Amino acid sequence: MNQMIPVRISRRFAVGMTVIAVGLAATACGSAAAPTATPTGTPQTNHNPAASASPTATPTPVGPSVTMSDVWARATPGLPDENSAVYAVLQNKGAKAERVVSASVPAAIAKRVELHTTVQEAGVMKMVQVEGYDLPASGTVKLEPGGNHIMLLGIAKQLKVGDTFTVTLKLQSGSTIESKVEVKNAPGGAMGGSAATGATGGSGAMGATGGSGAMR
Amino acid sequence: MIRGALGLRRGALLMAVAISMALAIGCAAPERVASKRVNPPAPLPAFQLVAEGNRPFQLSDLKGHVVVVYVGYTHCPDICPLTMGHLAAAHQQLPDVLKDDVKVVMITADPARDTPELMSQYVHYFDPSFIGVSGSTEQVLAALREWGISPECSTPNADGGYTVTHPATSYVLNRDGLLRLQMPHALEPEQIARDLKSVANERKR
Repeated sequence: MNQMIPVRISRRFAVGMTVIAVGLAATACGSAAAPTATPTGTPQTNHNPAASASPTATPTPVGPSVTMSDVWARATPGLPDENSAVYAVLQNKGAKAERVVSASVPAAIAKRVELHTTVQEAGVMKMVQVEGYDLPASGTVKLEPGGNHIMLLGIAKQLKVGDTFTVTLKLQSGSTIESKVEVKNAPGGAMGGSAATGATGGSGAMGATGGSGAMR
Repeated sequence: MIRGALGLRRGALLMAVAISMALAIGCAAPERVASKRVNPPAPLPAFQLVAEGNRPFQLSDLKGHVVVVYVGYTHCPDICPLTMGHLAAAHQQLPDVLKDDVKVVMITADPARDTPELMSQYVHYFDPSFIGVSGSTEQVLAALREWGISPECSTPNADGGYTVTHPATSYVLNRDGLLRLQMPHALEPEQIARDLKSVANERKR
């Protein structure tokens, strides 16, 4: 439950993923967008390390040490064109602030991935697409029901309890981290489990920023 | 040993004092609920919508039951499944004699995509006794407007997907069909079950 997945800062991996994502998008849905959450409205500063990486470069631990734990996605009812969300605990163990700028999952899981947060405003719940999640130095940010979540749009095949897939987060520093995602039932759905405590809608420590995106 | 026993007794005494004080303070309300109680229970505008099998549906069909009305939509990835999961867990926690007395109805805030069949499939995923309701876009939006709810859709993304705003609270109607509780979205199943039981026990018909 509480396993920590160590950071993998692999530049070569990032390049590989991009190639794979592009390949998948081309085969799966023709001209459709790649299943990658891209920040809306921001000219993306190009931190792409692939461009400058020399062939002999080896991954060095200069980047952030961000870990993902308790990574899970909500099981879905199995309706056509349904959506889901990925939740996790993100921990920045480094001394420098970091930021999650996008997330991706295999095209076999969802068509599209966006970073969102749920907010309550004047008695109305709405989802707001955000441009990233700030991870303060030595800080923890929870993606949890009723708050920050990685939204999966256009689920390709019903997500059933026990299924697993991989989520990849791209950080502002240009590195990526990936983690296995376990598909689960909504907390509290069956037994009001411990995870449900995160559902109390607190906005306290949420790291969502850049809410200039569309109201969702 | 003796001191321990005394400590316990003192603790129990303090507890008893605390409980009686709490009861004294809380005596205006018959039973404490986590939701916001509507006093006196208020009538709600009637509507006619569509349930499973394209059957006409109105809330007065459920008179005599305690009814939870939730407004959401099936493409909602976060808060709607969270709330529906909590409502399902709460319903399971109700005493057997009350299970049939408490109905959960979900009305779509997104009639353009949510047909009565989809709504029905969606709610049955959480609990087979739940009722999913939709209708034509005009019909649903008019009904929601009567309740003071105006869903707003986001600008569609490249795939045509969009999200919709919806109320943060659920509505709990008593056995007379009057609005009795406004239930915030973040309640745990245990609190929901307690609140529903409280309304169900107010007056048996």
